[in-house]
Amino acid sequence: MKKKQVIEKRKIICGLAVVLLVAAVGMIPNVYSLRVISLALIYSISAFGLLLMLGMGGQMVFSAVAFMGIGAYTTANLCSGRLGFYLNGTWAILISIVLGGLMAFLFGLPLLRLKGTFFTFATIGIVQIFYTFFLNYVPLFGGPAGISGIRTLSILGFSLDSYVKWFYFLAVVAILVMLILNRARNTQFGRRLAAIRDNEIAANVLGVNVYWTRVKAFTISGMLGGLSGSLLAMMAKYIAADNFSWTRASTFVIMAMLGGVNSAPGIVLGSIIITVLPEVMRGLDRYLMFLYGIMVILLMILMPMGLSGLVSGLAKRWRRKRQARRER
Amino acid sequence: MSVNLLGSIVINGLAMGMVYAMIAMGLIMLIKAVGILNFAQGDLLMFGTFLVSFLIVDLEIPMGAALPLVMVLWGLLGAGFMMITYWPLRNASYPVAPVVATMGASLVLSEGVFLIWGTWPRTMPSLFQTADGRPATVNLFGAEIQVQFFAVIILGALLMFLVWILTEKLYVGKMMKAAAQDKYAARLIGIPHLLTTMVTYILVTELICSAGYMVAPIFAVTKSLSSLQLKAFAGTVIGGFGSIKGAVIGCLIVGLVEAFAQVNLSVYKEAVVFLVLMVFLIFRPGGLIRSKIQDKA
Amino acid sequence: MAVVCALVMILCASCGSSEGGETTGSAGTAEASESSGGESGTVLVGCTVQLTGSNQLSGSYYQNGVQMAVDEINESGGILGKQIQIEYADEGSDPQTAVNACEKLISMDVSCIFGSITSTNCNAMLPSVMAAEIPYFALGSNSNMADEGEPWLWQVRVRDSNTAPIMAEVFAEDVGVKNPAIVYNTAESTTLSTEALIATYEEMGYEIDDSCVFAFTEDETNFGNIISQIMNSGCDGIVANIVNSNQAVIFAQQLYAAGYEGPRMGNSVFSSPEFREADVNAAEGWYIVNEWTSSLLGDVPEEIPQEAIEFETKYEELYDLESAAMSAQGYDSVYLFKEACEIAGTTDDRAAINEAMKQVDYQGAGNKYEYQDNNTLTTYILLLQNQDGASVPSAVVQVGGTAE
Repeated sequence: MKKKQVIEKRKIICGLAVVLLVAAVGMIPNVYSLRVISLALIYSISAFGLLLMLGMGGQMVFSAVAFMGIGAYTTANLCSGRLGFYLNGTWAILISIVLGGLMAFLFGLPLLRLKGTFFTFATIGIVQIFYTFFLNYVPLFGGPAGISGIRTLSILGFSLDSYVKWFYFLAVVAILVMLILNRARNTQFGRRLAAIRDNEIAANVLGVNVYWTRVKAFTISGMLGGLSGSLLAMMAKYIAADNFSWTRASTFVIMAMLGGVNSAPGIVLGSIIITVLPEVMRGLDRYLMFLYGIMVILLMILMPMGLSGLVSGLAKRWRRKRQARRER
Repeated sequence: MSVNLLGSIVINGLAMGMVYAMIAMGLIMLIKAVGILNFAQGDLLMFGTFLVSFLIVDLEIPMGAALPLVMVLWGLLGAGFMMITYWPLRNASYPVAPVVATMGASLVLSEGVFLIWGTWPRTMPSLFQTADGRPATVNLFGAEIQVQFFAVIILGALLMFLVWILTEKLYVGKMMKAAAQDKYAARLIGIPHLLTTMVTYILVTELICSAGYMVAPIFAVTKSLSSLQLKAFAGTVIGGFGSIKGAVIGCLIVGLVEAFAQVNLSVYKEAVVFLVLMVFLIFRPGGLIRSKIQDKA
Repeated sequence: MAVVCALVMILCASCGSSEGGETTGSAGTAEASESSGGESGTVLVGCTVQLTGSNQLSGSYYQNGVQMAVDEINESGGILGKQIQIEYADEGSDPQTAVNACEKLISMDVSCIFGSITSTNCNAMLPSVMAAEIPYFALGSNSNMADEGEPWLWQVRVRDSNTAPIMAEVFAEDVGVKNPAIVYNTAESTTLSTEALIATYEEMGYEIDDSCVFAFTEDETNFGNIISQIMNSGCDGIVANIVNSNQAVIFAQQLYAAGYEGPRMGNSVFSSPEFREADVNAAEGWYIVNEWTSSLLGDVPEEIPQEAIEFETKYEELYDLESAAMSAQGYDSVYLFKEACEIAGTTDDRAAINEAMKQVDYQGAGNKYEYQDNNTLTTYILLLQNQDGASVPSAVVQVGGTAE
């Protein structure tokens, strides 16, 4: 009884902290910073796909950018007048999500039968194939020039025409997705996924349908990618294939690892840090990528569980100390 | 399609395939020895090639002295690479960590090259030159193929052979395989883990850097050398992760597919290669040559 | 879990607020066409450069040129008595980061922006520039940029739609290649340029067969197939449109190794210093149509303006390197801004400065700039040929705004 009350209180504090934080950040007068943070939030939505596949399911994938690209180009085509009409942004988002999920499903079906590393490589293959098409196929993807002139999103008559409004919107979306994913952890689906991660053969023996659970997870990650790509297209109003290359795919993995691959707020934090880093490290421009690489190596050596792992490790130690003190 | 064109495509494809194969050989060795995917493989090749270019072109050290010197440098590179990306992580609780560390190393190497040697493209003189200083070529099927290409193929085959002897015939090779299969048991027998791992890394680095050195006169010493990596990966996967033989065959296939795709679908050839990869994976999930060692439960 | 969440949020908060504190600048609204940036007595300008990523080399050329102009102007008293304060922002390696760089400069309330040398990034930044109403000097060469009639965008280059026809005419009439093979990499600028080239050839009455046109991606390194196909076809020359000097070196080398003897024409990258130095033999004999060459210290045709020679002399003294086109163009952009400010009589009123650009008539190092339709400013281009590691100019060709 007491424990439940404590948890409830914690949740309320947590929720309040989040609301205050979002409000505070939204009041930064510097529009440029908001744009950077908004970009980070969009990337983190895609990275949540990694949360699902790697953090909860134990399977490394690189495919997030490919589905993000699909979502982005779908929305771009629908909302820029390229095909001769303009579709309302909300519809474009929904269609992008569906298409992203569909692509993931279609690719996942044959490929998820493969063992771990093989599947990882297959996802690399997915990224490369899509990237090549994004870069070169002009009728659908605009070739190297990309697609510009994408209209911004307007929901229920409320148009998102400034970076401040985008930030609030994205914060809400990101938080919603986070809550949904955390909820999913405790469902049957989530537990099955965790079982597969911890010991695939045992899970199989216990009756978990490894294959279908993975396909479901992959499809959801595709949907998340589609959502995030769609939002990117509408916020940036211009997309090009460079956004969806192999380099960006590895950046997503690093974002997730930095923040802690099994923690949604961790991923958001990791995404923010990585996106903000180049903007903050002025004067070190030439050395930027070099130091970034060193940071990644150090990160893996010292903090493989990411920042959230660090934080929860500290929290555990603190709790233990407190308990030890109580017992004295 | 004329015979000339066909012949030219095949030769080009095989030569590129050999280049990928040399990268893949190193990849497989690392996977089998320490179980990690090295995403910095292409960058190691590039770094090693820049080292050679630095010695031969910048410092103008004559070939005879430069080669042994550079092999020592390559060995240091390999050892250093191991100490930084693998050793601290060898007991990592999180199996993905070493892989991501190699991604970081990839950035460090490629940016490091820019920082040390600048961004200007560099060239390296071909090993075989005609009287007026042009790289020597051979006319095969109406196509002028650089003799250097053949050198690449021959060197690749030679290196494969040497590696095969090492791992199959010599005791050192057996030690390394044992250490790879079961670290704990190997340690019980007395096989020094640090030593075998270091030897593996040094060997891999020497391999791919030699490959880079042979290839540089054709492809120039630039950052693009590291982009050969993903296709080498594809070839490795097609061949199955088990053996070097499989990786080499896989890479040759990749090279040929790429060469044929380049003729009509030139800009989509990357997509074609990876589509072929996926088809292979779907229909033969274990790769061409299935590994004799399966994952434990 | 909740404890983690709370702690993480606190970390996030400190991260967020420190981010906000990092960047300077007043409240950057999107409305003002008045610049209030910079302390009184200075003019604040911004420049987006590619300092990291694959175009680092071009970025450093650009930055060198711009900085040289800024220092020169400051030494001789500044613009209308005010010293120039310049802020560089890194465009990074993808268009989103480039737009971030542009937004950052906009939020600092700069009087103008010296923009990207890549057309793709210029296009990406356009919406932000239009919304903020800041004069933007674009160093990309795409033809479709200024076609949209954007009032704040000034293209400091000769457009590809003008360069390509000149390339075709020179190659067909002067060099005599009526049936060329065309190779190009599929970046936006080179693709558009190739299309314009083919169109001009056909207008002149020479058919170009599809089998003589070869496309490849930016990271292609093996041209063996392409070269053998060219040598076995009946083509009497090669035109190459390549974006990246690395790739140009590889292509030229492999061509040289294959023993190709026919005439070759290339786009601007084939006259860059790094291309010529990497392999002098492979670079020999290429014809190029480009706005700029750095081989101006020696015998040059008299039409080459004195300003260009002075620029090159100074540049090499200062940086101990030969310059590239974007150095001269960056240098000229700063001086063009100065001209416009002096005509308008202000360094803050961006709308006035923008209007004044239309009256600018200035001989810079890289070109003589006059306002023409669609906000293009350039009036001539050079014909070059590579000889002994130098890119020697042979003629100056006049270029109209929308001339054929």
